[in-house]
Amino acid sequence: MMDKETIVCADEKILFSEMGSEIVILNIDNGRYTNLDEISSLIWKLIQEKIKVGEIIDIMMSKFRGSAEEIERDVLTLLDQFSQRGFLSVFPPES
Amino acid sequence: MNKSDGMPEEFWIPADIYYKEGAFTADWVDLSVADGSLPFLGQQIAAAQAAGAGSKTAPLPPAEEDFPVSPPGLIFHAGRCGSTLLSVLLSNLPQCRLMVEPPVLNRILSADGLWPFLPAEIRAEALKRVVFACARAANRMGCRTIFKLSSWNALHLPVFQKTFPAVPCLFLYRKPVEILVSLMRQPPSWGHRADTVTAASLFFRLPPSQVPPDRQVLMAQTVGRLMQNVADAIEQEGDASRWLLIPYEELLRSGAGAAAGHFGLTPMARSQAAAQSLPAHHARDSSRPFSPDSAEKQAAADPELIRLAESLIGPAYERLESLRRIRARGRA
Repeated sequence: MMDKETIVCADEKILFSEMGSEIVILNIDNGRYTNLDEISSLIWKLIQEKIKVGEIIDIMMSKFRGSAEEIERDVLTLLDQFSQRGFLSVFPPES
Repeated sequence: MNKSDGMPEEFWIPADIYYKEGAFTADWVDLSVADGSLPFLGQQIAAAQAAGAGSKTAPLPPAEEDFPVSPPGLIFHAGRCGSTLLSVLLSNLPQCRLMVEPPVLNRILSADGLWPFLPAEIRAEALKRVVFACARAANRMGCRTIFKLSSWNALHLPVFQKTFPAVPCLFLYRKPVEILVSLMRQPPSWGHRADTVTAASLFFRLPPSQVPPDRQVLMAQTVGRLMQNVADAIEQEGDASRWLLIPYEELLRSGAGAAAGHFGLTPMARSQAAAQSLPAHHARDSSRPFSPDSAEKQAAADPELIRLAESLIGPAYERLESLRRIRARGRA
């Protein structure tokens, strides 16, 4: 289970192509494509390097309206989906 | 046009390309036995391979900037507007080698495999290596290479602009409704790219949420984008002399003379006549007699097609016409 201290990074086997503000990603392990909407694409770009989940939430809060709880929940839900599909590497919090 | 007479023994060009771990490799084919009467390079390659032409897989070397070869010319077009006819006319010129819709360039720009996911600079480098490899091969024959590209390649025009900033370019186009009538009657090879949102997004370079569900709309939108990209390129570059705009009616009136001049070809009188006379047969299908069909296509358009042509292609078409008129006045 991820929390704000968890560190995430896009898996290197996932390729992506930017189409304007949206992204199409390709999992080269299974040849499957996934389309990301504008907000998911923004998060995808943020996780191209190791980043704390809390930092992602802070950035999204600075860009979008909504309660902190709502944005945190949405970010964690999306990252969880990425993780389940093998798009994401998850690292334990730094000690 | 078969130019095998006097051709060097070998004419190796890249027929396919691969990129792995920083290295470019190509499947090469020796086109010295190619049937030049076949209009498309893919057909020539297939025929040469069937005839036992030499083939090999080998590295695709970098383009040598200082290689003493004239830059090739690039022909872009909106589709269904006489580009194959133009390439047939130009191929009559003795110092001109036409590469018509090279499959290897389409591979680099396609939505297939890893290519759309590779960084733009790698795809640009691949384009450059392929174009210069073909130009080098033609140069050994004393020819200039003109590339007649697939219509949809103009979706990638910014890559071409950046990669070949000084190469003379030509854009052939036609009244929007005539193009759409033709596309509806005989869907283009790229039509199947609209089958899924992801395929369409990757091929047409559209955000997935902006892929129109209606195929007719997607086709019209694509033709409009091709024209718009060219108009944008001309306006961005600020030097209209690099581009020659030829509407279909002008091609039928004047043949390929203006195109030959634009590409720096100086045809001999006999060749020039050949380049400027319209063929008796259809460029893509020699069994069909050639006859201008603009009036028939205009009459065949239904109100919805006319609406799509006017709304999705019309503004870009008018921009091109305006740019062409400005340039014509500048020359007068």
